[in-house]
Amino acid sequence: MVKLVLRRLSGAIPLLFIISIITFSLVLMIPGDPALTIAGDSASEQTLAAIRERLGENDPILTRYFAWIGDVLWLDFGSSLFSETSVTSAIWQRLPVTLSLAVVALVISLLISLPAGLIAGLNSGTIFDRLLTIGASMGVAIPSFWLGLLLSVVFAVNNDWLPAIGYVSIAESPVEWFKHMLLPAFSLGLASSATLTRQLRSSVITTMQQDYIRTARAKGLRGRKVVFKHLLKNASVPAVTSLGLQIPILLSGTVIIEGLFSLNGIGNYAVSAVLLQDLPVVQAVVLLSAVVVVVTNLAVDISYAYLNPKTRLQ
Amino acid sequence: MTMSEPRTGSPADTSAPPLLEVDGLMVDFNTDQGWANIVDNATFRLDRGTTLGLVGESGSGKSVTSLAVMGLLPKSVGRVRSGSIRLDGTELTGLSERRMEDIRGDTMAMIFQEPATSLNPAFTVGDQIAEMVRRHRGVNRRLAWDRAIEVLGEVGIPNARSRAKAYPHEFSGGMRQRVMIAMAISCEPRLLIADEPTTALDVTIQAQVLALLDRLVRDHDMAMLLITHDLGVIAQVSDEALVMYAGQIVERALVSELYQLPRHPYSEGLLVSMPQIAPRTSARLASIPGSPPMPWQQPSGCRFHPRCPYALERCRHDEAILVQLSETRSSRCLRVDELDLGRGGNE
Repeated sequence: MVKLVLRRLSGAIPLLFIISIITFSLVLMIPGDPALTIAGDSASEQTLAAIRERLGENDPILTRYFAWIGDVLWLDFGSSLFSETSVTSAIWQRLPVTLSLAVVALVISLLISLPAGLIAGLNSGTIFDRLLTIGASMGVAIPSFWLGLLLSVVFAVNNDWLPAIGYVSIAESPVEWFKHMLLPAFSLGLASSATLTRQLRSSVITTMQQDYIRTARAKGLRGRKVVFKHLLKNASVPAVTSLGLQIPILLSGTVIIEGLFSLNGIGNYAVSAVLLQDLPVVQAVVLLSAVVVVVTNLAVDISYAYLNPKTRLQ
Repeated sequence: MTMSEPRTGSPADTSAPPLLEVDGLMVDFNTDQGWANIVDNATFRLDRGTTLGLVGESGSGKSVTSLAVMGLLPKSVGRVRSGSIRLDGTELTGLSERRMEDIRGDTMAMIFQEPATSLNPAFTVGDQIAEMVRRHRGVNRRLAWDRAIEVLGEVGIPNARSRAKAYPHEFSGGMRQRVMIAMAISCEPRLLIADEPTTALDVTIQAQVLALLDRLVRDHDMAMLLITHDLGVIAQVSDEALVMYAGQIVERALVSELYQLPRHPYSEGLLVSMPQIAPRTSARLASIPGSPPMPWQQPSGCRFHPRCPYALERCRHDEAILVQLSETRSSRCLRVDELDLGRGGNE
């Protein structure tokens, strides 16, 4: 098991290296001149040249890449083109907001999808199953920004039940933190919960028909033991794959939701950076997102080895 | 499987109450064509220390009969319409699911056809045996694990102590079936149901597994209900045989009697379609023409008449009933007194 983790980890390193090259190449791909962006159209040629020199734009591209990656390895993403503030500290400030949003959304989606998928799968064909399946189809179809608006109107505007905007740190007040997270996280997580429900439902149905479930019943095991031990471990393999795919989707969803609920997170930061062509910030956000995806895939791979011993073979 | 000498031996003392007594069992399945009768009025008994073979083609109702005994009919698809199943004096039909769970694995256990898919790929074999021991014996993990190692050794798994920690995919087909058998006997059941236990195995392994089952039944004084389509298997380990066709028992006999003189044309068909080592009298293997009827379109009269070489006009109309011929024999053939069976379609 440890060997497998190490093997997968060593595979991830070249991948991250390639991703870093692609991220850096954004410099070459994004149209426009950063010096012009900073100094404005009316700047003199000398000013522009000075800025270019300061940014290192006159150096060969490889030199610039190694300078950048060297800093990035120490978690130094440089400074913003405009505010001169450190990108790393700006991200560090905003990370708790985005992380809270994504994690609460994930927890909400699991809290909905685990029981819903299990109940629908174990009672397939019944009225419960039909209702849950219809609900899940609707959940997939509802766009998060529309749901977010609707929830804001109902819970924050028409009634004073929950705050519609802003963020309170969990260290400051866990209760307020949770209240502020509830609407955005629910808007973000509902679509995921619907996808996961459908996935879990179908894998529960397939797994229930397996011979080893009949064996478990033939052994006289209690119904809940059959379901929670013999069924769930096998049925969760496809569900975990689906879950792994949901995490990047949730992260990209934070971009819209943070805007909608005025949360000052990484999503908002990225949007403004793209609009301003603030390259160091864009690079940092893209690289971070890529790392999250790689780590998620790694975690999914490793969980396969736990869930399905056959995959532990070479 | 080649034909071997039928076992001689007679059922145990019939005056003692039987271990398993099935009486008038009717099982229906919900098919695309509505509810169809799958097992029609099955009646038989099984005594301690004996093996009863249940023979027939696929779709004859033999597996469904065994699943009904185990209470494992797929819910919403199959149901016991009527009849009685008594195990060691306890009436099983109508028992709550919780009571059935207490009995399954404890008083009776079952072995299935496909050892490859019948074991859970996600848990070690030791764990899968030990959890059953803990369930029924209420012992702690350590003792349950020791018991798992003990039964793995008993069924001939080498290095049982270390192999208990292996996963099912790390065993060969024959060894997996031994693991299934170890699991089934781990709580010392009185009734062992084996549904085609050797069908998925290599021919060389089949005989070993049958010999193992036979030994275990004797050593532990269990009763075994052995379900197979292969009369050769029955010959090796069974004392008595029930031949099923289209959901009905068509013949009941001691195995030795059945081989010497079948009393139903279907039994005869099964016997002559077995491959023989003995001199080849005809160039090709005999077989029963046609295939069994679908449950929702059973023929009128005797259900076997469309495939029977001896069928007369009355076989189409008159319902065949199971007639007791002697203490050990019954046959469901309208012409049982007229036919001289045993040679395959030559009156």
